[in-house]
Amino acid sequence: MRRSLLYYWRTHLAVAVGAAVATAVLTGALIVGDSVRGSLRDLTLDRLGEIDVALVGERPFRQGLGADLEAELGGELDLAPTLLLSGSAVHGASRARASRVTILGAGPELARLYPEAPELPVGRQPGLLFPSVVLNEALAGELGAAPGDEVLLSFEIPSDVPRETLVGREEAGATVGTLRLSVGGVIPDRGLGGLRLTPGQARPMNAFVERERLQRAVFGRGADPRVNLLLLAFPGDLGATPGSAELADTLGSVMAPADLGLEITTGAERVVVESDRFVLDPAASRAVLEAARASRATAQEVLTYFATALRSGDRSIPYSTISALDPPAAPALGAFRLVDGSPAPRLAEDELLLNRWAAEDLGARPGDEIEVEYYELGARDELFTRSVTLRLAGVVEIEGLAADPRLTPEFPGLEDAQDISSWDPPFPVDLDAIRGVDEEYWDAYRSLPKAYVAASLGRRLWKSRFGDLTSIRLAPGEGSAAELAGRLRAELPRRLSVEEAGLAFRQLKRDGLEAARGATDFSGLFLGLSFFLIASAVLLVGLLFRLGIERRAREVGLLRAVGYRARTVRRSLLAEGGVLAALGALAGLGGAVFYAWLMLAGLRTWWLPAVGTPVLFLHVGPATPVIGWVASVLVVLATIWWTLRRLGRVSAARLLAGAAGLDEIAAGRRRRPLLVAVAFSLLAAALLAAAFATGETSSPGFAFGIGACLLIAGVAGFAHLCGGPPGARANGLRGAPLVSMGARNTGRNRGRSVLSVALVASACFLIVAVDAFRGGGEAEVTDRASGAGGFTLVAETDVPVVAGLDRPETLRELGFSDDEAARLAEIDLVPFRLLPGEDVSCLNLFRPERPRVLGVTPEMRARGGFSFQQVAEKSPDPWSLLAGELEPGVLPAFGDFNSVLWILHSGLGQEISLENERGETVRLRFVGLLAKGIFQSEVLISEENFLAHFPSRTGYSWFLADPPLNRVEETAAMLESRLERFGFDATPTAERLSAFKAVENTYIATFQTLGGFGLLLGTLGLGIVLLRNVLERRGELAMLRAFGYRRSTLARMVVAENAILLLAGVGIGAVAGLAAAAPHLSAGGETVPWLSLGLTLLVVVAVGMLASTLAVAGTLRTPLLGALKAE
Amino acid sequence: MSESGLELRGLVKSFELGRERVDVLRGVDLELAPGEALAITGPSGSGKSTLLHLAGTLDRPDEGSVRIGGEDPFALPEPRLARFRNRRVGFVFQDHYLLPQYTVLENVLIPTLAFADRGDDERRDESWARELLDRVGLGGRLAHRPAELSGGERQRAAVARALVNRPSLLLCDEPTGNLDEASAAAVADLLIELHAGAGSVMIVVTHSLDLAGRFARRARLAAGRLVEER
Repeated sequence: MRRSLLYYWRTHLAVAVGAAVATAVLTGALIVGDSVRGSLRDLTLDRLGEIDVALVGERPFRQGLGADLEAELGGELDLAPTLLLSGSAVHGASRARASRVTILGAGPELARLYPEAPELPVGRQPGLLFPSVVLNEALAGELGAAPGDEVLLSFEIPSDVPRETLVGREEAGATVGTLRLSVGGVIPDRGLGGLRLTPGQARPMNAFVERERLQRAVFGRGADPRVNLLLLAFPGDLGATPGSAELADTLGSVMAPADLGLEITTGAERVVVESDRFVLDPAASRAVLEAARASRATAQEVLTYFATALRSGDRSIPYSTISALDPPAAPALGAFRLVDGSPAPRLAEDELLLNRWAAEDLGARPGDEIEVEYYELGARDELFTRSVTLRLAGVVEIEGLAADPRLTPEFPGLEDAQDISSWDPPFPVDLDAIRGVDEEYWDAYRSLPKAYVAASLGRRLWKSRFGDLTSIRLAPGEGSAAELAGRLRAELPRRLSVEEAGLAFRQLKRDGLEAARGATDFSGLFLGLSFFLIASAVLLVGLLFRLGIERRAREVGLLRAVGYRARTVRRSLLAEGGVLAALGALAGLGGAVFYAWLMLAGLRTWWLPAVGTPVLFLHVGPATPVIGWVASVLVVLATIWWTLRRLGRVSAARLLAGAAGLDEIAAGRRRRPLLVAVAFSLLAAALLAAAFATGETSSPGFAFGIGACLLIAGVAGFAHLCGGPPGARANGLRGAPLVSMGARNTGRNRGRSVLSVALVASACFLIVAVDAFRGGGEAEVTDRASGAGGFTLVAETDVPVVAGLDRPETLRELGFSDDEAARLAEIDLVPFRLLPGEDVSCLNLFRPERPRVLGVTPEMRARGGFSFQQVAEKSPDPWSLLAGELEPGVLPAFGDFNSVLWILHSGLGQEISLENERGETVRLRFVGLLAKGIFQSEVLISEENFLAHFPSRTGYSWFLADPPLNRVEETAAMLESRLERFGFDATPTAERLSAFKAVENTYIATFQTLGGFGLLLGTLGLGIVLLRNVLERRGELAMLRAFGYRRSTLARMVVAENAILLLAGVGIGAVAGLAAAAPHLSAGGETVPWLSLGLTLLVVVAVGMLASTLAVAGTLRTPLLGALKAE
Repeated sequence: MSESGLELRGLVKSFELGRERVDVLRGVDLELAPGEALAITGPSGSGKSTLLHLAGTLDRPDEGSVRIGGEDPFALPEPRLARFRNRRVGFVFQDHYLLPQYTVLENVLIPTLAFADRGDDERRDESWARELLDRVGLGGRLAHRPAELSGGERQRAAVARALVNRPSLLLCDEPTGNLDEASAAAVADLLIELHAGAGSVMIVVTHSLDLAGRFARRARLAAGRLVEER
C-alpha cells in the first residue's frame, strides 16, 4: 500500500487535500459552536466577577438584611448591598440621551467582588461641580461623555404603596426622580463595568453612583437605608454555592415582619397587623390568618376605604373614611355598640352603620337610605366616581372599636395634616366642600371612619389586585396580646415564602453559565450554513478518488484476473483511502482552526448584525478536533466506499481493457428518469395547490417541499434528456453542430453529468430560495396584517407610565401643549405592560430562561391586527385566544413563530415555564405564533393574566403608536421630549423590523457566502469531471483533429458541453428555488431581489465557465497525437 | 511524379525521449499516383504510424516535404491546413474511435461537421453517408449506437466515416488490428473495394502479412527507411 500511495502521489495528494478541506469546514463549524459557547461563558464570568447569587427585591428591603444573612450563613461570603434602578441619562451640555441605563447605587463592597477592579470614584470628588458618577464605556460612548462632564440621571422612585391604587397614585410625572452628577470616571465594559444581571451579549450601559446618595434621592433624607439588590459571592467553586431554596430558608430565619412590609402593633388587649403598602397583600393576609388560627386568636378583617361623600336626603358629609368589617367576635377586639347600648348587628350587603357624629350630621335615622359616593380607579389611573345606596341599619357610638384610630391605616397625604385644608391626598379634593364641622371632626377624631359596611360588600366594591384588607385585628385566645404579637413576629416570616415577600434569589453565575450554552446551536447552525461547502468537498473527494481508481482500472483488473476477490481489492483500496482520509483530515484540523477564526472574524465584522456585539472569539474545545477528525474521516471513507462499491460490478475483462467507470451508451434506456420527472412535477403541483388551499403560503415546509420536488423533477428530466433526445432519430446534429455536439457529449458519461448537474442545481436551489425569502425589509407597516400590525412607532420606557396617555389632564401634567395633546389624540397609542426579562429574539445569543413578557390590554386584543403563522384554533379573531386561563396555572400566550421555534425551542401547543411573583410556576402555552413582526423579543399574554401573576408590576412600559408615515419622526420626537423623564425611547417600526431582518439577512448572507464557496468547489468538481472526460476522450479528440477539427473548435465544443451542464444545473436550481419561494412572494407582496440573485448566479456561471475554459485549454494544448498511435 | 497523388521526399523525423534523441524516420521517399494503394509493414516502433501522421499532415517532418495532389499542405496556415486535411485526407485507425453518444450515421457525418459553412452540402453529405453505410453493410443500423455494434461493424462504420468527405488520400493505421480473422478479412475486402471505386491514394500500415499480401505495392519500414518490396 505504501508503494501505491507513493506511486500515485499526485492523485492521492488531491484526494487528501479534498479530505482536508472537508475536515477544515466540518471541524471548523464545530469550533465556531465551541467559540460561541466559550465566548459567552467568558463574557458571563467576566461580567459577574466573583458574584454567584443575587437577592433581588420587587420592593426595596432593609440594607442590613445582607449582614444578617451573612451572619446566619457563617460569615464566609462577600456581599454587596446595592440599589439598582433602571433609568435614562442625559448629557448636561449636548443633551445626548441614553435609555435603558442601569443605575447602580454601589457601596465600596461592590468593586471588591471584582478582583481587578479599582475602587469606584463615586461621591464628592475634588474638582467636580456635582457628586461623581462613574460611567462604563458603553454609556459614556452613547452620551459622548468624558470625566468632568455633567450628566442627569432619571429613574423611577419606588413606592411602598402600589401606584395603581387610590392611595398610591401620584401625579403622572411625580414617579420619576433625577440626580445631577459629574462624571468622575469612565471604566471599561469588562468586569465591573460590564455588570449585567440578565444574560445577553449586548454591552450594558451602567452608571455607578454612591449608594447613600441614590438612597437619599429615592427614599428621602433620614430614611432607613434600603436596597433592592444584594450580590453574594461564596468562597470555593460554583458547586459549593448554596441553592436558592437553601438560601431562602436561611433568609426566612433572619427576616423580621418589617422585612415583609408588615407592622405589628400591640395594644393592651389586641394586636393589629398592617402593611406598609396600605393594603395587606393576599399572601400576607393568609399568613396572618393562619398564624392567628394556630395561636387560637380571634381575627377581625378590616378594609378601610375613602368615601368622597355620605349623603342622606339633601345633607352630605364630604370626604370620610369608611370601614368594611363584620362585628368583632371577641370582646378584646373592642366594643362595637349601637347608641342604645346593644351590640352592632352583622350587616347585610345593602346596609350600613353610621357613627353618632355622622348620623347626627346627616340627620339620618335607622331605615333611611344613605348614598355612599367613592372613587374607583381605572386601569390607566382614571378616577371614576361611583356610588352605592345603602339602608342605615343603626348608629354606632364612638367608643371601643368605633373609636379606634387604627381602623384607618396611615393615609398618604392625610395623616400628617393639621387640618383638612392642608390635605394632600393622591386624588382630587374639593376643599370648598369642607365645612367647619368637618374640621372639628378632624381635630377630634382624625381619619376615624364615619361609616361601616359589611366586610363582603367592602371587598366587592373596593378590593384591588394588591389585596382586600387594610388591617387584621387579633384578640389572643390564650395569653396576652404581647405574647401573641411575639408569636406572630416569629411565625410570619416562616409562613411567607421569600417570593411572597417580594424577594427572590437568582443563581446568576449558575444560570448565566447555563444560558451561555446559547439559544442557538452554532455548531449545528454553521454545519448547516457550511453544508454545501462540506458536501462539495466530500463529493470532490469521491470524484477525485474515483478518477484515481479509474486510472488504475488495469491494475485492479489484473489483481482480479490473478485471483484476488473483488471484496479484497476493494478493501485494499478502501484502506488506501482511509490512510488518505486520516492524513488529509489531520492536515485539515489546522484549516479548521483557520476556518473557525475566519467565521468568527466575519461575525465580528461583516456579519456583525447577526450577533449585535463583537464578543465572539476563538475557543477550541478539547474534544472538538477529535470529534471533527473522526467525523470527517468517516464521511470521507463513506464517500470512498460508495465510490468503490461500483467497482465490483465491472468485470475483470473490462477492467483489464481499462474501463472502470465507462457507461456504455445504448438508446432507449431512459424511461425511469422520465417517470420520476413527471411524478415529482405532479407532486410539486399538488403541494402548490395545497399551500394555496390551506393558506399556508409562507410555510417553509411547503416551500421547500415544492422546491425539492421540482429540483428532483428537473434533475430527472435532465437525466432523461442528457445526451440529446433518445430514440431512433438518425441524425440529430443538424443546425448548430457545436452546441448539438456539446449537448450530446453530456451523455458521454451520463452518471457524471447528472451528478454534476445535481450538485450545481442543489446549491443554486438553496441560494435562490433563501435569497428570495430574504426580502427587502420595506414591508408596508401601515397594513394591519403586516408585521407591524399597522403601527408605525414602537416605544419603550425605563420608568413605567401609570397614567393613561389618552387623558388630556395627564398630558397637561406631563407638559404636553394643547396642540400636542390634540395631535396625540388623533393617533392610537396602545400601551402594554412589560415584565422585564431576557430578549427571546435572534438578537440574543444566550439561552433565555426568563423571557420578556408583554401584557396585552383588552383594547389591543379587540383591535387585533398582525398575521399569525399558526394558531391553535382557526378564528376570525385570533387575539381572543389570549383571554382567560386554559387550565389552572396555564396561561394562553402568543410568540413570534421563529423566536418560539428557534430561540425558545418550543412551538404551538407547547409550553414554557415562568416563575410568577409569588414564586409559583406558571405555564405559558402558545396558542398563536405570530408571523415575522415586531414581537420577536417578547412573549405575549393578556393583561388580566399579567396582573394576576405579576400584580406589583405597575404601569406600562411598552407602546405601539400609529401616526401616519409622514409624521412618524415628529411624533417620536414629541413623545421622547415630553416623556423624557420616563426614558421614553421611540423607534419607527420599520426600523425595528429592519433590525430583525438584518439578523435574518445576515445569516442568509452567511449561508449564501458559504453556499457560494460550496458552489465554487462544485464548479471545481465540474471542471475536474470535464478534465477527466477530456483525458478519457483524448483518442476521440485526436481522431477529430485528424478529420480536420481545429483545436479551438474542439475547445469550444468541450466548453459548450460544460456550459450546458452548468447552465442546466443553475437553471434547474433557480427555477426550483423561485418556485419554492413563489407562494411566499405572492402572499407577502414581497419582490424577488433579482439584482443580487442575478449577480450571484452570474458569478457562479462566470467562474464555472472560466475554470472550465482554462482547464480545457490546458488539456488540449498537450499533443493529442500520441493517442492515435496503434502501438 | 503524379500531379494528383502523394509525394513524400526525404522525410526525417526524430523524437526526444528523456535526454535521448530517437531518429524514427531517416529520409523516407514515396510516390503514389491516384488510384494506387500501398501496404506498409515493419516491426513495432519502426515509425509506421509516424510516417502515416506525416503523410496525413497530423504532424510536421523535421526535414523533407509532403505533397498531396500537388500541394504542399505544410505551407498552409494552421486553419487552412485543418480544412485541407478535412477535405483531402481520410483516416482509419486501429481503434475505431466512434463516439459512443452518437448514432452510427452521426458518427459517419462527424468529419462533415468540422466547419460551420456547410450550406446546402448538409443534405448531400447525409445522403452520401447513408450510401456509404449501405455499402459497408450497415444500412439498417443507422440509428444504432456504437455500443450496439460488433467490433467488425464498428470498424466498418469507421471506414465509412473516413470516406465521407471523399478524400484523395486514405490512411489506415492497423485497421484490422483489433478484429478477429473473419472481421479483419471483411474490413480488408471493404477497404480494397471502396478504394478501387474511389480512385484515391490509399496507404495501409499493418502487421498483418495477410492484409499486406492483398496489395499490389508493399513496402517495409525498418531503421528509419522505407524499402519497397517488388
